[in-house]
Amino acid sequence: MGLSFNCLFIYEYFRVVSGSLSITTILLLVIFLLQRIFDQRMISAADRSAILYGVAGAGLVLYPTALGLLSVDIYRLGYQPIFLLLLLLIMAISMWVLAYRTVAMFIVIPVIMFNLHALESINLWDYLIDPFVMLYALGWVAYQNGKKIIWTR
Amino acid sequence: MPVNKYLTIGFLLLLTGVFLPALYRGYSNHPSWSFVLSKITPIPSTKDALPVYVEDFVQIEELTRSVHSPAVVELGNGNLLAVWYGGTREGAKDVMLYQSLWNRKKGVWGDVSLLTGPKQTQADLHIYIKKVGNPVLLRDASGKIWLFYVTVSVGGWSGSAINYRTSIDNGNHWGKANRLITTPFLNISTLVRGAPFLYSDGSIGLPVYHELLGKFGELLRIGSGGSVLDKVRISWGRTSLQPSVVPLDHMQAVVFLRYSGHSPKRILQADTLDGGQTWSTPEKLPLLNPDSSIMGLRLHDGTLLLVFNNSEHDRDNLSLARSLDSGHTWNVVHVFEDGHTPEGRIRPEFSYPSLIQDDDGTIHLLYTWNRRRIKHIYFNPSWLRKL
Repeated sequence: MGLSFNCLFIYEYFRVVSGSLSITTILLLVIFLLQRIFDQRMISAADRSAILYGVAGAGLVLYPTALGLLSVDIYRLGYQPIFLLLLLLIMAISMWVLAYRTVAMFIVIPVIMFNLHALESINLWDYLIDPFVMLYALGWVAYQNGKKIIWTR
Repeated sequence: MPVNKYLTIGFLLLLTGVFLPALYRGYSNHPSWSFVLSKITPIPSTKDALPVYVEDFVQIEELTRSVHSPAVVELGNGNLLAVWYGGTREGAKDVMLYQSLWNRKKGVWGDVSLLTGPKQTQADLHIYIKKVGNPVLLRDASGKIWLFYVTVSVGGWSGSAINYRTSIDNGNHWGKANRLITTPFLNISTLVRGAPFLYSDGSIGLPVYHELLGKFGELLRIGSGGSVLDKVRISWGRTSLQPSVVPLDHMQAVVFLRYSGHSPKRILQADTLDGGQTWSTPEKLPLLNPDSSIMGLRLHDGTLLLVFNNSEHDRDNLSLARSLDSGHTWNVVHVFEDGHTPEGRIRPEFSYPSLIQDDDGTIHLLYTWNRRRIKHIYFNPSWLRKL
């Protein structure tokens, strides 16, 4: 007795989750692949840290409110994104001034893709963050802080 | 000039080129928050004198073992289009959406035909679809029929997403399925039940609800092209779902919500004074609710109607309540079903009402009848006034 997929393409299963990937995740995956191919660090440790802390922080604000744990819904800001765009603009400029230039581009590129309607969603949040990069960022932050706690003991 | 300064100037130009268009688009795409009320049609005097009350069934033959959650809309030619889901049981893989047309002149329902199912939706979206569920219908100002319906790719109903199809020929042919992106968490846990309605700018107000971590109602704004323009939270917490929004005038509306909490189990009601941008905290009405779907309707003369299960525990009673003061006070005026069926079924169920008033003034009610048939009752305001 073999496995039967009822003529279903495997990618249609994959799309259940892959259709939700943000531009941030795609950029990180591209950088990861380039680093593996060229055996060269493409992003500084400081930039990587800032990006992952930013994603973790944004996710901790976005997901609980979107899932209804609070009465306010931050996800709504992505549909009428003027406030979110202004916030991102200030953050991009700040990061550039502080010499976190890769971080600044990680803010600008999703907005470029948002203007081009590159993803299925028209909510700006979906270009910035998704559950996968959020989980990765949370795990990384927890691991980094866990290491610090162990080393200081 | 040092390289850093060239880079900075280039970056600032990039920011200008990227953020200015996005900000302008965000500013200019602001939707209007003014409801469209159903048009007021004078009722001919002959019809006004004669009360009419008719009971019928949509399915002449029971084509599927189980049916549920009907939706109904009036077409441009005065006929009705009904859609529901049916299969072996709720949530089974063989569940499909079916449709039938009610001929106004003859007063009969036509043959039942298959509208869509998991495979067809999957083929359109290129996403695995496990099952389909609740449908709702809307006819927009151009006469296009919108069908919004629930699909599940993973898990149960809490893993739902909303999709839509449109028809420009009164349901004879339907376009491809399209997905609405409504949540950031894998786009799951949004469902429909309450009837959609129109805003003055041509966009659609679609009442939806969540039931993953919490149970609460929301209102989606859908553009004429099918994209989600905005989303407003109607309630939050873990006990309110399936909102039924009823516009009262161009800015005011009431919403009725199903209650899934502890006793006393009552229908919840909230209101908005700004076209749905903000909502009051839902409060319990004196009307019972056994954690079951309800449906509200504003008649052309301003009377509010609610169809609901008048019980805290069972769905064997389906009743009609009326408010003559915009929802401040309610009276139960009629019982459509009182727990008895010809077959003597144990634990009968009469649930998930769908309620509209057509352009002629006749009120049409469709609901699940013992999960085996879709029942259609229609009556006129003259009959209602005698209650």
